[in-house]
Amino acid sequence: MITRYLASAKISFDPFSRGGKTARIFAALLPPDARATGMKVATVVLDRQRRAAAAPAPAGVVELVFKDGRELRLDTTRMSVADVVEEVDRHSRGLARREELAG
Amino acid sequence: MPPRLSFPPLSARIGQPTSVLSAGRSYATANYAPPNPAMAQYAPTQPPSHRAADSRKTQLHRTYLSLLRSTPLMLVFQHNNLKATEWTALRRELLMALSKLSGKGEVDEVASGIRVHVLRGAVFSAAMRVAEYYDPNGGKQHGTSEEAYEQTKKRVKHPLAPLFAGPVGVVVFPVFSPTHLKTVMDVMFPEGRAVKGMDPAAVSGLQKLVLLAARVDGHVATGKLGGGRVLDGSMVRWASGLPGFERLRGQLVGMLQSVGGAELVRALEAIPLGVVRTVDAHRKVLSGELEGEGEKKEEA
Repeated sequence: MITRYLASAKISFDPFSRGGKTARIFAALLPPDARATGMKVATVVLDRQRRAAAAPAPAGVVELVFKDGRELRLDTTRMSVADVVEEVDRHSRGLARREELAG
Repeated sequence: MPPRLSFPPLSARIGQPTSVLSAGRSYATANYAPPNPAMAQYAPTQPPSHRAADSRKTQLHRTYLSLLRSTPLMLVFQHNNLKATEWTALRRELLMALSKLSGKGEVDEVASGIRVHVLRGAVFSAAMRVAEYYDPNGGKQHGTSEEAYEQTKKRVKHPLAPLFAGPVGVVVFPVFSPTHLKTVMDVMFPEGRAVKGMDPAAVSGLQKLVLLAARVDGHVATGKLGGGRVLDGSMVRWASGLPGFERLRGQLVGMLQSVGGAELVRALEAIPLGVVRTVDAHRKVLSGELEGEGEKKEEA
């Protein structure tokens, strides 16, 4: 996954639900020096009871902000990790091409 | 039992040159008993395993099963790409924080038993199914037996099962002790900012740790084998905020005395005193008898 163009990532998931798995594993795809290189990473563990009370709340959400300001919010409950990576890379590749042409 | 080496019949061998070596060989064949094929599958120190006994997965399964059976409290966490230096720094900080709980020169048995393990998720969840569903259902054989495998291979939904995908680890406690739990929580999963004065490598490491859940009880010592309960992060935090057992007992006694339950306290205290007196009296009687017997023997 291309993580160079990510400015911030907020990952919230319910650990006890299968739907939360994708968001949780997405958190493990960020590189080890993500925080050191200025990316803002926030991981939120959703409360089991509270999520059950608010019934339609998704089990996993990935909220990303790219360096060009574009925001991406994905409900990952029914997505696979590969799907999420594809969504993120689609915009990152565009940014990479633009950077390459500019400099 | 047929000999392992096939020899031509004696009639065919007559006339052929014989040597000392062949005589020795025939002697060895006569005394040799091939091992029972069922027994030869596994090492003599280990029970027969359904899977290859020398594979890493089987050994991990055994390790995880013994972990699950022997610990009353297990914190499950996710580790997102920690570097080796961050792991070492974090473990060092944890050791130092735990060593501060006991005085100098004292050995803290609880602290020395606290371990951080990084897991193989699929193997662990298989071991957990054995610990939770095979053991209490009167599992007659050991955990890696074919019977255990057959009974637990169907995917029974365990509340912790979705957790063991991805990079997951556990912190294992030998007994439940709120003070130790609080220390571990403060070092590894602080609420808000990390403890001041920590190694920067450890701080950057703990930012990548996410507390997911905890498994409580379900070990042999309490007789609740397989009865593990699942706590989420907020409940673990609540449990770590409890005062230690000594203080809780003190509070209970204080409350009883203030309410007027002094007699109850005295009655509860009287039980161990009575036991001590009875046992001591019995010991005196026994020793008296033994002396009496000794005298009789000397007389005889």
